[in-house]
Amino acid sequence: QGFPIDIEADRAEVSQKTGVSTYTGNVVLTRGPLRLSGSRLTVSRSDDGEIRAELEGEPVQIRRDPDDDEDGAAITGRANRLTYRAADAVLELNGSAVLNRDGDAVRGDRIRHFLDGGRTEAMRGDDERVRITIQPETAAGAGVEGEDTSEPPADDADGTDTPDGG
Amino acid sequence: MRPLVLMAALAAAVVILLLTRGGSQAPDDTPVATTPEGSNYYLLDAQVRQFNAAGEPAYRIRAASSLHFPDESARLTDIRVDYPRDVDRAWTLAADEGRIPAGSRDVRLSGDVTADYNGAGRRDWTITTPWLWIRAEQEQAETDAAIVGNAPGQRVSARGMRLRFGEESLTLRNDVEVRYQP
Repeated sequence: QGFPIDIEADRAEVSQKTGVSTYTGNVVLTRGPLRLSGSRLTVSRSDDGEIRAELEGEPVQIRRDPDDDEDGAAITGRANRLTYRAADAVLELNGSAVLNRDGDAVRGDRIRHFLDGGRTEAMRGDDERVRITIQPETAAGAGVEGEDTSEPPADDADGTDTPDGG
Repeated sequence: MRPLVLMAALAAAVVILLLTRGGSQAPDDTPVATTPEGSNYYLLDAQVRQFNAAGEPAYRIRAASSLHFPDESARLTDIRVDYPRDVDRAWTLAADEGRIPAGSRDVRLSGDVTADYNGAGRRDWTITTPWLWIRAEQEQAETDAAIVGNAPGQRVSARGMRLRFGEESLTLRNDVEVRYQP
């Protein structure tokens, strides 16, 4: 959390009036081990300093290198659009979303990943169900634990909460 | 023949007298004004107000000195440019030197150019660059040089910028790098 957010891009439009900055062309956002890249990024900063970044790409690419003091899992992923809320370290992937972790993969229309703690939620789309691929323990070591959700539970009609198993 | 010679000598004497009498008048002691560096006039502690097409005040330039040259160009030193369009939110530019080309109303600032944005409740900005054009007609400023900008919790660098005073926005043209501090 303490890391600054660094952004590189070809161009930028900065509005002092609204406080919104729009970056275009080879956009890369890095924050510590997290690296997001895409073609267009909009960053807004609320009056209390909260930063919200919305990234578009063909697709947006996500990479988070293993972090020594956490569970060490490297993450990669992609989506058509991504929202990153810096304050609570949440990645929201939208549109053909895929998140990979130690060989396991979560696919859905929408995926929400909590960078602190590693929890992942996946939501289906109109015509795309959530699909989770969990590698056998031997092949990939600790991975995302979650039940097979061919029939979504009655109370959670559109998504799967896959707590990070110990 | 003798009277003719006498008449010519007399005429010559009169002419010489006139010429010398004119010279012996009291010397003109009014000081002849001199202007620096070939300028035809100059202003000290000058203040220039620029109005836009609608007659609204566009910007105001204050300069320690403003030299104006026969080709209608001008050179200013120690400049401050205020864009008071919206009284509480304004851009203030400062530079060591400024030049106004012949027949133009644009001003090229150079030498430690700074652009300060007083956000009045919004984020204040300070941008520095080695040179910058003020485009009077478009109420903009632009440069192709490197810029560095600072706002609370944010640092920006880029190559090339365009500032739109009225819209309170800016375009960073190339090689944009930004750091947001948490």
